[in-house]
Amino acid sequence: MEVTQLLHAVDQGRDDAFDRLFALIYDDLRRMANAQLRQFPAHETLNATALVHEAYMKLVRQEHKHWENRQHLFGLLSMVMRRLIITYAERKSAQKRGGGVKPLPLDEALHFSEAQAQEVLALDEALTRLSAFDERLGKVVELHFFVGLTQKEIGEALDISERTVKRDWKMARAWLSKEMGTA
Amino acid sequence: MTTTRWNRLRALFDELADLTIQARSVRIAEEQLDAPLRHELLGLLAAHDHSATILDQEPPGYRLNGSEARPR
Repeated sequence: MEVTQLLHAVDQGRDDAFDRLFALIYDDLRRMANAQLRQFPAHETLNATALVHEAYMKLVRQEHKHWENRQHLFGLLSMVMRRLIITYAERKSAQKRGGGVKPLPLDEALHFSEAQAQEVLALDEALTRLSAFDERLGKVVELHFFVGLTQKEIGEALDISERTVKRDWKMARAWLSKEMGTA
Repeated sequence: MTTTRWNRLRALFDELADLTIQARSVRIAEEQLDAPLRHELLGLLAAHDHSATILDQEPPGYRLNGSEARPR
């Protein structure tokens, strides 16, 4: 059964279809997790599998599984993976402040510095502002930074040309850099 | 920022980002931009030229479960 058929079955409420779908796209998920983990220095062992499993569990818990196609699903996954990283960064900051926050399951899998956590949180906020008035630019950044898709893959996912993706990325990168005060 | 101004800013940035400083100056003068838009555009161009953010990070390497190689 193809991804699209499984998505349709999932949309009809068949949880077994979701399991089969996940198995089918697991390699893609691992690649996405690897790309996400590449954003952070590797002073310690990183575990992409744990990240993927966490993403999967969050997906399973989603109440609304309305995926129109493969691109729709990957769009959702990019949001899930962004949320995972941001949640981790928030916990990292809270722990630094001595808030007595319990470690996340990912704590043993994903490590980055306090400074990087702050930078990720700043990026998340700036990206949310950018998406508010240019949704496509925000999606391009999300798919590249949080999912790790290439410009060609992003073009396929958003049904735009690779050249347009390149232009979007250039503009988004400059705008976000300016917003984050690093220009 | 209105959609019209954002679209104009994008178009100008697209056109100017890869030009030389001198060529940019000529074009910006020709456009006769209002001060806020000019300020925004110059800020974007400066960010394009000089910024280094987490968006650009390419860590030297990583290990996946201690064994897998970096995919690219």
